[in-house]
Amino acid sequence: MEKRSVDSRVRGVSTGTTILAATFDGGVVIGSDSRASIGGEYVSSKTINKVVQVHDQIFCCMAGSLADAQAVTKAAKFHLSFHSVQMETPPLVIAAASVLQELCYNNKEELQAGFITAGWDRKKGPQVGAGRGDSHTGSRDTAVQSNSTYWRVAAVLIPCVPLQVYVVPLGGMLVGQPVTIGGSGSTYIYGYVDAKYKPNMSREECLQFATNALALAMGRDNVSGGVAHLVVITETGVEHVVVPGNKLPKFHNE
Amino acid sequence: MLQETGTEWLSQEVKTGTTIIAVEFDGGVVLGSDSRVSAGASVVNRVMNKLSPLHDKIYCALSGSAADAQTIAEVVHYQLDVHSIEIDEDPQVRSAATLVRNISYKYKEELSAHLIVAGWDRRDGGQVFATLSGLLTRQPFAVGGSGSSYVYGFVDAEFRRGMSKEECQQFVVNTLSLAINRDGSSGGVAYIVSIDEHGTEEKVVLGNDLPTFFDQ
Repeated sequence: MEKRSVDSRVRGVSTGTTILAATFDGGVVIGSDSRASIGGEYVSSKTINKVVQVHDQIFCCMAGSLADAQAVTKAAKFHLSFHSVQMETPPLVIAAASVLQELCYNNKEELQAGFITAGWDRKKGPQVGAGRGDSHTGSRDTAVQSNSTYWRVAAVLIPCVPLQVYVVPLGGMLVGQPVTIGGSGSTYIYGYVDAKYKPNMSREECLQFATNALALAMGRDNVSGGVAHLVVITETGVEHVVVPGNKLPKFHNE
Repeated sequence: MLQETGTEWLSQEVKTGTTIIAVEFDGGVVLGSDSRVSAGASVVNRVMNKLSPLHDKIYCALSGSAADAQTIAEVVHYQLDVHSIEIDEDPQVRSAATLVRNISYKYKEELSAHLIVAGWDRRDGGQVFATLSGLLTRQPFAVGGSGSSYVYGFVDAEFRRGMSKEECQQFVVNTLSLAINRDGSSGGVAYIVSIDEHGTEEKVVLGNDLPTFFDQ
């Protein structure tokens, strides 16, 4: 008991969480749950929004230590707004993902974070990327198997023609993928995402897919829960969708 | 590099880091497993059948420590044989599951194996029992092993009551395939066993015949 509470205090408020981003025909959906917990024992917030806007059409998802995530995204916002002033054009998604990657990689000893970056930029259309910065140098498998390793997921949407999401996993590499998931709850939905994701879905199909995936993960992971925050980013703009707990899809065992 | 990894696997416990699943349908059950046995980073057996018969129409799926799981299965196989002679008829699935549970619970500190027991009997039809850590619970389906974490979402979404035998088999194969793709400790081929009142059917689905998904 003693040891556990010390751990909680030291670890601080963390977002054991589920985050995901997926590209569809014409845009990107990025979403997360809304639970913040301390040590997996106490829910400190039921309604935290882990989808953070780092630029007009670029969003990040946070998983991992909440304090670290907020600090990093704040720094990223600054870098990106400066960058966009210098370039006189909105930043590319990959630029946002790279900014997060640099922050994760250079501070990998202190940070425990992975980011999903999703957004839309003029050059390449909708994209999703993921990045994780973590003091562990283990592979994604190691991170995923141990629920105590948190990810920070930032989704940056960059509009581009080939749909890609950028992932910055633990350690700070940068990878572009059509769909990506992160957080402690993501372990439970790897199979679902692999089976159900199809490239070039319609907006409604993708929203339904993302909502289902979040609901399934929240149903199995005790540190994910609350409402589902979803952001749909397309060339024309950004739309927030919030699905409250009682409106989430129910499955056979509920 | 070779020096470092050369002798690790000799001293690490042999585990069936695995994916196992059992699903009940109207009239029977379908069990499935992968075939990988690992000792640390080495795969020591790539074709192990983890679906072990406890009786003609009762099978169990092994996961966790390979030695512990196999021993439990063998002991229960023997105990069920004796039991079925005593009652002069085929044993119930619940009896088999209870025998497994009794061993798992009594020796829970020493053993680290999880067996899923599934089968068909005349009284209650197809049944699936989970015996994790010494509990006994009947469920419409059960998944276990290290690979099961990755497919909880998939099975929650896709399972429906009242599937036919073929639909169940396809569901099991899909689940195993998804888990094998994500879990480093699961792999090889998929063994499927289907049990109903007419008999028991064992099938192997080779690696290249497993279903593939959008990123493959």
